[in-house]
Amino acid sequence: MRTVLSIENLKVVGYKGGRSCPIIEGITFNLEPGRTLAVVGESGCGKSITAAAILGLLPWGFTVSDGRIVLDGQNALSLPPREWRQLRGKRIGAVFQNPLAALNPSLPIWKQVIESAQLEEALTRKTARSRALQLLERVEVPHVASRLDDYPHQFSGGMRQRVAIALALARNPALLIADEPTTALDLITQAQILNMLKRLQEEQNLAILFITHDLSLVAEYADEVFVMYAGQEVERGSVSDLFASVAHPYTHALLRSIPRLTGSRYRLIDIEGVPPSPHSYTRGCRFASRCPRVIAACSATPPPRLGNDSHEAFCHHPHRVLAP
Amino acid sequence: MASGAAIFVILLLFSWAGPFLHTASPYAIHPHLLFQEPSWQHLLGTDDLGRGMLARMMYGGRPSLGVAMIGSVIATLLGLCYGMVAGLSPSLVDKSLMRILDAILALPTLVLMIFFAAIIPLDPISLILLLGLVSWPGLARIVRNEVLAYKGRDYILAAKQYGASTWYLARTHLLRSMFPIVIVNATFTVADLILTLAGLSFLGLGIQPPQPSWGGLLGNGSNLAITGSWWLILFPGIAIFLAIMSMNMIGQGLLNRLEGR
Amino acid sequence: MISRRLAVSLLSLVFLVTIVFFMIHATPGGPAYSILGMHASPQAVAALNRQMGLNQPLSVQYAIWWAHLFEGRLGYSYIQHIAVSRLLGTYTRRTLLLDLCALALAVLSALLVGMVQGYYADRALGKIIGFAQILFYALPVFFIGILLIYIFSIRLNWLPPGGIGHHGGMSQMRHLILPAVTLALPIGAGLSRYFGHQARQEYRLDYVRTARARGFSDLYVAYRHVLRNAVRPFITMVGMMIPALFVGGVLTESVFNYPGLGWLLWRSALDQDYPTLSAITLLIGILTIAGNLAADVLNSILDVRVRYE
Repeated sequence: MRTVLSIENLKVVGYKGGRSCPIIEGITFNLEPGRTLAVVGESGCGKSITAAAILGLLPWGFTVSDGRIVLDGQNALSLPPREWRQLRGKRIGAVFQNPLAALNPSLPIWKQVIESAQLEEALTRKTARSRALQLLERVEVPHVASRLDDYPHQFSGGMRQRVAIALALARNPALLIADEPTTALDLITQAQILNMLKRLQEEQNLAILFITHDLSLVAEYADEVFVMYAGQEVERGSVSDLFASVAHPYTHALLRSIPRLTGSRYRLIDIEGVPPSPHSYTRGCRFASRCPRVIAACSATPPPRLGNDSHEAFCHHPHRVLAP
Repeated sequence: MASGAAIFVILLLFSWAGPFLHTASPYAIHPHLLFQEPSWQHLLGTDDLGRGMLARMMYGGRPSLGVAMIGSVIATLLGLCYGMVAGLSPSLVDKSLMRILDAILALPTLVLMIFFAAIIPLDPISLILLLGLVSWPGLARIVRNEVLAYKGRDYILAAKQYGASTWYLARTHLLRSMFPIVIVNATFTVADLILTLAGLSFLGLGIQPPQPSWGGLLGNGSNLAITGSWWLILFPGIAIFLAIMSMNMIGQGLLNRLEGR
Repeated sequence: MISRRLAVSLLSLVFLVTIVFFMIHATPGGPAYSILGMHASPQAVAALNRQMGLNQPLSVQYAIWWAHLFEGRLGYSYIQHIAVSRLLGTYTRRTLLLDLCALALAVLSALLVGMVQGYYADRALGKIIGFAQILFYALPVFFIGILLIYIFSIRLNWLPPGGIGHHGGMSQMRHLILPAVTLALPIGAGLSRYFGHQARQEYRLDYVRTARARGFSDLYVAYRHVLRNAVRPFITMVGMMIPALFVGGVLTESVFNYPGLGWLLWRSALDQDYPTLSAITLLIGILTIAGNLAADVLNSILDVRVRYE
């Protein structure tokens, strides 16, 4: 099947005070229509920077220094900024973590939902409103007809995230980047929204890049898992293969720790410390300083690739030996 | 903040110590040396009466900076007193004093200054009093709010229980804890007063000629602008600008330090 | 809230009128001398005192002063040889024209510069703009004015150095440009600093990222989303600048010999034309107080609407 998105050897560097340091490197994965790829890791491991790079919305001071981002068969990095911009919204939609701030506080929601359509064609007020109604019904906003003129602050966090999803999907993109879309929400709302996304995915054959720190959601909602640590891949595989035989100690730690119910920052409970900052990246395994299974080789040489295309890990001393 | 302080110290030295190095009189008229451009003989040029601008700038700095600084001290004392009285008084008195303050703050000070300047004799002493009398209300409000904030603190309440009198508290605890914010405000007031005094002198309603002042020199230069004597405009203008800017920089630096940024 | 503000404004007004009354009475020789001039004969002074009720107790005179104000009797200018009240209309119109032009210029440039500054906040351009704002904010209006006159009138001979030109049309426009720019510069610098900060805050919010992720162009995001949200607190700030506008206007009018209220205030102060001086002081004072009040009322109305939304 044709891939919607394929990332090849992506490297992003950040500049500060005239010095540059790598933020993420060697990121490679593919995403096919109708599939969900979960990118998993702690805060600060480069998940959101990966998402921003794909959208072409890296913050000031960050640039892609190597690799390819192939969308619909063309490398987005070689497109002029204007054409890349036109891919956003049309081919890629995005929802982010904090639904409370994701909407413009001074525009009624129907105007925001219909904004991108109105930029393409002139709509009468009546058609615009009825189209906004359809879009909002698709994301299951209750009593939507009476709420078109409401402002974002009149909605709950979960409802606002539904509206944000409606914005992202307004032009039927092939790919949705969901960057921790439910982290700030309670468990029930979280499940409702993820189930709704799953339904939309089936209806529209949507590819979803699901960024999360919560491995417990991954088993239920994703097809493939991509575990990141300190800007690098540590383990990748299909959900069934990876969960059946977790190889990397970091993935293992993620699985064992219980995420807090709400809150955006999240740390591993089992393992002391925090991910290293990009300035202190070393040649060896970046997880070595926190790893319970550390051996002498870990801090000396880069970890070798183990396993095969359906399940791979980068580790000197894995929990399980993966068949090549 | 350091650079602001450095600029201001240089301006002070220029005005008070400068005349010892450059001993020319600021009043001596030289009919054969009218409108000399800046040169090695006349570093800042000469004016329409052949008086050296360097000497006039030095002597002009004294009232321009001195009047503003002393005026700011007076304003600070007045503001401190009014604010303390309001903050320490019973709520009803406090409220009425604050409404009066609101009303005073709504008055356009420069307009009133021009009005007063037309009526009072314009010598440095009366200008100091005038500037001081007009610019205290801003500080008064700050002080009053600080007093209210400190009133509820534990150590003040504790001292009250031991029978400390209100005035004792005001003297020992409040004044000490308010000192930084008062100093910051006084710094900004100096900048404001330098500007106001320069504006008044520029209009001919401040320091009176032949005594030089930066605002007056600029006013004179602007009347003579048609002669193309740029040095009569540029030097006093820059001096006023530097004085205001350096005081603002000092104030902002102190404020940042106070807020722990 | 509004009624309290109204009460404060009325109190300001009473203060203003009272201050002017007592200052006029504090003038050497009292108001009669100030009206008739220093060289008036004692007989003339006595006659005027009787006529104006100046031989009455101070409290009665104070009441008379108020009564005259309500009747619009502001005295007679012995310098301009005209009743003061008849002077004011033309001068007020000119001042309002200049101040409104300057305010419009300041607000528009503040919006433009502030948006650019917000967008480029972390880059060199944003920092350069920030530096320029501090610079212009510390430059006294009278210095800016005279510099502009020197450059554009005397050296380049592009624009008139002052005055007002013929009524209406190009000439008046050309005479307005330099004073309006002079007055707008420091006010625009202050406003744009504030608005730039506001725009920067908005640019950091997530909805901007949402809009960008939908493929909207930077320009569209700027005017449709960021501007809209950053402008609301900015309106408050514009209101707070109104007194600064009147005060800056006094100096600007004097520098450019632009015959508005500020210029007249200056001239009558120099000429010790006390009837005109006190009338103008009262009028500019009232305008400032009214400007303050209008800004506050506008704010509280906007505020209510925000809360209601």
